[in-house]
Amino acid sequence: MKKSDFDRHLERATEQLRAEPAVDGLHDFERRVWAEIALHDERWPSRIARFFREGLPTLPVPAVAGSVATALVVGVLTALVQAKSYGETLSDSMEARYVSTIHPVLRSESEDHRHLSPNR
Amino acid sequence: MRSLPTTLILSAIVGLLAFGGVFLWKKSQIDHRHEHLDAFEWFCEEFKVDGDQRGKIEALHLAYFPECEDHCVHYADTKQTLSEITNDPGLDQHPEHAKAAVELALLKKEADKKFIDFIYSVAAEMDSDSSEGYLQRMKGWLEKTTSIAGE
Repeated sequence: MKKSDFDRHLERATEQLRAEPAVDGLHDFERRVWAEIALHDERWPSRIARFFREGLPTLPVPAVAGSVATALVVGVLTALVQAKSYGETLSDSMEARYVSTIHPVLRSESEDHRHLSPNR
Repeated sequence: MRSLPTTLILSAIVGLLAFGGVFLWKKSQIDHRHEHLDAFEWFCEEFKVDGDQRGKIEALHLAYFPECEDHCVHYADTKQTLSEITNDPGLDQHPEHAKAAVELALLKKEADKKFIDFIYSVAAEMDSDSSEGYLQRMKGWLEKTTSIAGE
Protein backbone atom coordinates (compact mmCIF):
# COMPACT_ATOMS: atom_id res chain seq x y z
CA MET A 1 0.00 0.00 0.00
CA LYS A 2 1.29 3.42 -0.93
CA LYS A 3 1.90 5.97 1.83
CA SER A 4 -0.72 8.38 0.51
CA ASP A 5 -3.30 5.56 0.38
CA PHE A 6 -2.44 4.64 3.92
CA ASP A 7 -2.95 8.25 5.06
CA ARG A 8 -6.26 8.45 3.24
CA HIS A 9 -7.51 5.22 4.78
CA LEU A 10 -6.38 6.29 8.21
CA GLU A 11 -8.09 9.65 7.90
CA ARG A 12 -11.31 8.07 6.69
CA ALA A 13 -11.25 5.54 9.52
CA THR A 14 -10.61 8.28 12.06
CA GLU A 15 -13.49 10.37 10.75
CA GLN A 16 -15.71 7.32 10.87
CA LEU A 17 -14.71 6.59 14.42
CA ARG A 18 -15.48 10.16 15.42
CA ALA A 19 -18.77 10.39 13.57
CA GLU A 20 -20.40 7.11 14.50
CA PRO A 21 -21.41 6.80 18.12
CA ALA A 22 -21.20 2.99 18.15
CA VAL A 23 -18.96 1.25 15.67
CA ASP A 24 -19.61 -2.44 15.50
CA GLY A 25 -17.21 -4.45 17.52
CA LEU A 26 -15.77 -1.46 19.40
CA HIS A 27 -16.63 -0.43 22.88
CA ASP A 28 -16.54 3.19 24.00
CA PHE A 29 -13.16 2.81 25.59
CA GLU A 30 -11.63 1.20 22.48
CA ARG A 31 -13.15 3.84 20.24
CA ARG A 32 -11.63 6.59 22.32
CA VAL A 33 -8.28 4.80 22.28
CA TRP A 34 -8.40 4.52 18.49
CA ALA A 35 -9.34 8.17 18.22
CA GLU A 36 -6.39 9.15 20.41
CA ILE A 37 -4.05 6.96 18.36
CA ALA A 38 -5.31 8.55 15.17
CA LEU A 39 -4.75 12.05 16.57
CA HIS A 40 -1.24 11.19 17.73
CA ASP A 41 -0.43 9.73 14.33
CA GLU A 42 -1.35 12.92 12.52
CA ARG A 43 1.56 14.67 10.81
CA TRP A 44 2.41 18.13 12.20
CA PRO A 45 1.33 20.13 9.11
CA SER A 46 -2.09 18.55 9.19
CA ARG A 47 -2.24 19.10 12.95
CA ILE A 48 -1.54 22.84 12.45
CA ALA A 49 -4.07 22.96 9.62
CA ARG A 50 -6.63 21.27 11.86
CA PHE A 51 -5.91 23.84 14.61
CA PHE A 52 -6.60 26.74 12.27
CA ARG A 53 -9.62 24.96 10.76
CA GLU A 54 -11.28 23.74 13.90
CA GLY A 55 -9.33 24.88 16.94
CA LEU A 56 -9.94 28.60 16.70
CA PRO A 57 -13.20 30.10 17.85
CA THR A 58 -15.56 31.31 15.16
CA LEU A 59 -17.75 34.37 15.46
CA PRO A 60 -21.30 34.85 14.20
CA VAL A 61 -21.91 37.39 11.43
CA PRO A 62 -23.34 40.12 13.75
CA ALA A 63 -20.22 39.91 15.92
CA VAL A 64 -18.00 40.19 12.84
CA ALA A 65 -20.02 43.18 11.62
CA GLY A 66 -19.81 44.76 15.07
CA SER A 67 -16.06 44.29 15.20
CA VAL A 68 -15.58 45.84 11.75
CA ALA A 69 -17.91 48.73 12.61
CA THR A 70 -16.02 49.37 15.86
CA ALA A 71 -12.70 49.39 13.97
CA LEU A 72 -14.21 51.82 11.47
CA VAL A 73 -15.40 54.21 14.21
CA VAL A 74 -12.11 53.98 16.12
CA GLY A 75 -10.18 54.63 12.89
CA VAL A 76 -12.28 57.68 12.03
CA LEU A 77 -12.14 59.14 15.55
CA THR A 78 -8.38 58.61 15.82
CA ALA A 79 -7.91 60.28 12.43
CA LEU A 80 -10.00 63.28 13.56
CA VAL A 81 -7.98 63.64 16.78
CA GLN A 82 -4.69 63.38 14.86
CA ALA A 83 -5.90 65.89 12.26
CA LYS A 84 -6.90 68.31 15.04
CA SER A 85 -3.47 67.98 16.58
CA TYR A 86 -1.86 68.56 13.18
CA GLY A 87 -4.05 71.67 12.70
CA GLU A 88 -3.02 73.00 16.10
CA THR A 89 0.65 72.55 15.22
CA LEU A 90 0.15 74.51 12.01
CA SER A 91 -1.81 77.14 13.90
CA ASP A 92 1.07 77.48 16.40
CA SER A 93 3.49 78.06 13.56
CA MET A 94 1.13 80.69 12.11
CA GLU A 95 1.00 82.35 15.53
CA ALA A 96 4.81 82.42 15.66
CA ARG A 97 4.81 83.96 12.19
CA TYR A 98 2.28 86.59 13.27
CA VAL A 99 4.23 87.49 16.43
CA SER A 100 7.43 87.73 14.41
CA THR A 101 5.78 90.57 12.50
CA ILE A 102 4.95 92.59 15.62
CA HIS A 103 7.79 91.94 18.06
CA PRO A 104 11.13 93.52 17.04
CA VAL A 105 13.25 90.82 18.73
CA LEU A 106 11.42 87.97 17.04
CA ARG A 107 11.38 89.90 13.81
CA SER A 108 15.15 90.28 13.94
CA GLU A 109 15.45 86.52 14.49
CA SER A 110 13.40 85.66 11.43
CA GLU A 111 15.69 85.13 8.45
CA ASP A 112 13.66 87.26 6.09
CA HIS A 113 13.02 90.22 8.39
CA ARG A 114 14.56 92.65 5.94
CA HIS A 115 12.18 91.52 3.25
CA LEU A 116 9.11 91.14 5.43
CA SER A 117 6.01 92.64 3.91
CA PRO A 118 3.46 94.02 6.39
CA ASN A 119 0.98 91.22 5.92
CA ARG A 120 3.48 88.41 5.79
CA MET B 1 -19.42 32.68 10.51
CA ARG B 2 -15.83 33.90 10.43
CA SER B 3 -12.86 32.74 12.45
CA LEU B 4 -11.40 35.08 15.05
CA PRO B 5 -8.14 35.81 13.16
CA THR B 6 -10.01 36.59 9.95
CA THR B 7 -12.28 38.95 11.85
CA LEU B 8 -9.34 40.67 13.53
CA ILE B 9 -7.45 41.07 10.27
CA LEU B 10 -10.55 42.38 8.49
CA SER B 11 -11.24 44.85 11.32
CA ALA B 12 -7.61 46.05 11.37
CA ILE B 13 -7.66 46.63 7.60
CA VAL B 14 -10.95 48.54 7.77
CA GLY B 15 -9.73 50.60 10.77
CA LEU B 16 -6.44 51.49 9.08
CA LEU B 17 -8.15 52.41 5.82
CA ALA B 18 -10.66 54.59 7.70
CA PHE B 19 -7.83 56.28 9.62
CA GLY B 20 -5.73 56.88 6.52
CA GLY B 21 -8.62 58.13 4.42
CA VAL B 22 -10.06 60.53 6.98
CA PHE B 23 -6.66 61.82 8.15
CA LEU B 24 -5.44 62.54 4.62
CA TRP B 25 -8.73 64.22 3.74
CA LYS B 26 -8.65 66.47 6.82
CA LYS B 27 -4.91 67.16 6.39
CA SER B 28 -5.40 68.29 2.80
CA GLN B 29 -8.20 70.62 3.95
CA ILE B 30 -6.00 72.09 6.72
CA ASP B 31 -2.99 72.45 4.40
CA HIS B 32 -5.09 74.11 1.73
CA ARG B 33 -6.52 76.58 4.26
CA HIS B 34 -3.09 77.47 5.68
CA GLU B 35 -1.43 77.75 2.27
CA HIS B 36 -3.62 80.72 1.44
CA LEU B 37 -3.46 82.31 4.87
CA ASP B 38 -1.04 85.11 5.71
CA ALA B 39 -0.18 86.04 9.29
CA PHE B 40 -2.75 88.82 9.55
CA GLU B 41 -5.52 86.69 8.08
CA TRP B 42 -4.61 83.95 10.56
CA PHE B 43 -4.95 86.53 13.36
CA CYS B 44 -8.40 87.63 12.09
CA GLU B 45 -9.59 84.05 11.78
CA GLU B 46 -8.16 82.89 15.09
CA PHE B 47 -9.60 85.79 17.10
CA LYS B 48 -12.81 86.19 15.09
CA VAL B 49 -12.06 89.68 13.84
CA ASP B 50 -14.14 90.89 10.91
CA GLY B 51 -16.04 93.84 9.47
CA ASP B 52 -15.20 97.30 10.86
CA GLN B 53 -12.99 95.81 13.55
CA ARG B 54 -10.82 94.22 10.89
CA GLY B 55 -10.35 97.53 9.06
CA LYS B 56 -9.38 99.40 12.24
CA ILE B 57 -7.04 96.67 13.43
CA GLU B 58 -5.41 96.31 10.04
CA ALA B 59 -4.77 100.07 10.05
CA LEU B 60 -3.15 99.73 13.50
CA HIS B 61 -0.90 96.94 12.19
CA LEU B 62 0.08 98.87 9.08
CA ALA B 63 0.91 101.96 11.14
CA TYR B 64 3.01 99.91 13.56
CA PHE B 65 5.05 97.86 11.05
CA PRO B 66 7.57 100.57 10.04
CA GLU B 67 8.26 101.43 13.68
CA CYS B 68 8.66 97.72 14.50
CA GLU B 69 10.93 97.21 11.50
CA ASP B 70 13.19 100.16 12.49
CA HIS B 71 13.51 98.79 15.99
CA CYS B 72 14.15 95.33 14.61
CA VAL B 73 17.02 96.58 12.42
CA HIS B 74 18.52 98.54 15.31
CA TYR B 75 18.27 95.50 17.58
CA ALA B 76 19.80 93.16 14.96
CA ASP B 77 22.72 95.58 14.33
CA THR B 78 23.45 95.95 18.04
CA LYS B 79 23.30 92.20 18.51
CA GLN B 80 25.71 91.73 15.62
CA THR B 81 28.10 94.32 17.09
CA LEU B 82 27.98 92.64 20.49
CA SER B 83 28.62 89.27 18.87
CA GLU B 84 31.69 90.62 17.02
CA ILE B 85 33.06 92.21 20.20
CA THR B 86 32.47 88.99 22.14
CA ASN B 87 34.28 86.93 19.52
CA ASP B 88 37.25 89.30 19.35
CA PRO B 89 39.78 88.38 22.08
CA GLY B 90 41.37 91.83 21.78
CA LEU B 91 38.14 93.51 22.87
CA ASP B 92 37.62 91.37 25.94
CA GLN B 93 36.93 93.56 29.01
CA HIS B 94 36.78 96.55 26.64
CA PRO B 95 34.28 99.28 27.64
CA GLU B 96 32.63 98.85 24.22
CA HIS B 97 31.66 95.32 25.24
CA ALA B 98 29.72 96.45 28.30
CA LYS B 99 28.26 99.38 26.37
CA ALA B 100 26.91 97.11 23.59
CA ALA B 101 25.50 94.64 26.13
CA VAL B 102 23.69 97.40 28.01
CA GLU B 103 22.37 98.87 24.77
CA LEU B 104 21.06 95.48 23.66
CA ALA B 105 19.30 94.95 26.99
CA LEU B 106 17.71 98.39 26.72
CA LEU B 107 16.58 97.68 23.18
CA LYS B 108 15.04 94.39 24.30
CA LYS B 109 13.20 96.21 27.07
CA GLU B 110 12.03 98.86 24.64
CA ALA B 111 10.93 96.17 22.15
CA ASP B 112 8.84 94.51 24.86
CA LYS B 113 7.27 97.85 25.74
CA LYS B 114 6.42 98.58 22.11
CA PHE B 115 5.00 95.09 21.75
CA ILE B 116 2.86 95.42 24.89
CA ASP B 117 1.60 98.88 23.90
CA PHE B 118 0.73 97.55 20.46
CA ILE B 119 -1.13 94.43 21.60
CA TYR B 120 -3.16 96.51 24.07
CA SER B 121 -4.06 98.97 21.33
CA VAL B 122 -5.20 96.05 19.16
CA ALA B 123 -7.06 94.38 22.02
CA ALA B 124 -8.94 97.64 22.67
CA GLU B 125 -10.57 97.27 19.25
CA MET B 126 -11.59 93.66 19.77
CA ASP B 127 -14.55 92.02 21.53
CA SER B 128 -13.94 91.45 25.22
CA ASP B 129 -13.71 87.65 24.94
CA SER B 130 -11.41 87.75 21.94
CA SER B 131 -9.23 90.49 23.41
CA GLU B 132 -8.72 88.53 26.62
CA GLY B 133 -7.59 85.46 24.68
CA TYR B 134 -5.40 87.56 22.41
CA LEU B 135 -3.64 89.32 25.28
CA GLN B 136 -3.11 86.07 27.13
CA ARG B 137 -1.52 84.38 24.14
CA MET B 138 0.61 87.35 23.14
CA LYS B 139 1.91 87.83 26.68
CA GLY B 140 3.05 84.22 26.55
CA TRP B 141 5.52 85.29 23.88
CA LEU B 142 7.25 87.80 26.15
CA GLU B 143 8.98 84.98 28.03
CA LYS B 144 9.99 83.34 24.78
CA THR B 145 11.50 86.57 23.44
CA THR B 146 13.46 86.93 26.69
CA SER B 147 14.92 83.45 26.25
CA ILE B 148 15.66 84.12 22.56
CA ALA B 149 17.34 87.43 23.43
CA GLY B 150 19.46 85.66 26.06
CA GLU B 151 20.86 83.17 23.54
